[in-house]
Amino acid sequence: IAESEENTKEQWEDDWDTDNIDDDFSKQLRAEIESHSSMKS
Amino acid sequence: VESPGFPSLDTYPLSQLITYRFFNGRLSVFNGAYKKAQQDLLFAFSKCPQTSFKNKRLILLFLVPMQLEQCKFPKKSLLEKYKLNQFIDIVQAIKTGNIKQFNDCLSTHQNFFISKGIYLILEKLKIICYRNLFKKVYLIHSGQRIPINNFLSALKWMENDSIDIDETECILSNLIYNGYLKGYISHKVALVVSPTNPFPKLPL
Repeated sequence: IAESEENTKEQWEDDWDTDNIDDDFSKQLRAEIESHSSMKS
Repeated sequence: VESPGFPSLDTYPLSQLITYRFFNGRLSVFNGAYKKAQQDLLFAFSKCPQTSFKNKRLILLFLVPMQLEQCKFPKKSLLEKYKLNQFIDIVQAIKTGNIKQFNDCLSTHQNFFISKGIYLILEKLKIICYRNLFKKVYLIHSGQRIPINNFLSALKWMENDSIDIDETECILSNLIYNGYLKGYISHKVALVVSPTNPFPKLPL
């Protein structure tokens, strides 16, 4: 039983919610927002 | 079966108990009792022996949407092991807040998900996807007043160019209403977020 409990931790992650915005997606998002706001000002 | 007139559940052989909780879990999925479904299916999955690959895969098919509902994400290795590759991109999309990828996955595997009866459950996860996208918009801006236009640009980029400010405010209000976001909308100007923890930790 202990083994299967251990497996559960390896199979699922619940600590994915981070404040990290260094990934490629966030960089593109930043570029997208900045390009729009600069057009208006 | 779980009423006092019956022998207690743990007097049954494990194999029967697993089967019982699997079907009970599926019934709860159908009834919308996701928390209970998640517990039953998780039990069935972890107790089901490694040798019955087909059964484990079948349990996982319903367990994954339930876990996603609780914001517990399956590792890629788990999905690959049980050949549930249909979920891999969708999990990735929700995590990053990539609405475009989310929509694409859902339509690519539409027939598969509908045939398994989990399409509508997955569709509801879109709000978590919005939450994660908007959290990034908030983090990028780093301030308490975020122009609505920033959210609008993000949505235009992710969904389509025809999205307007009303639609953006609608999504924001839904997030606030559901407790995913703490703040208020200053109409057509900005979203003012709570100074402390505007995006409460998931699951709510």
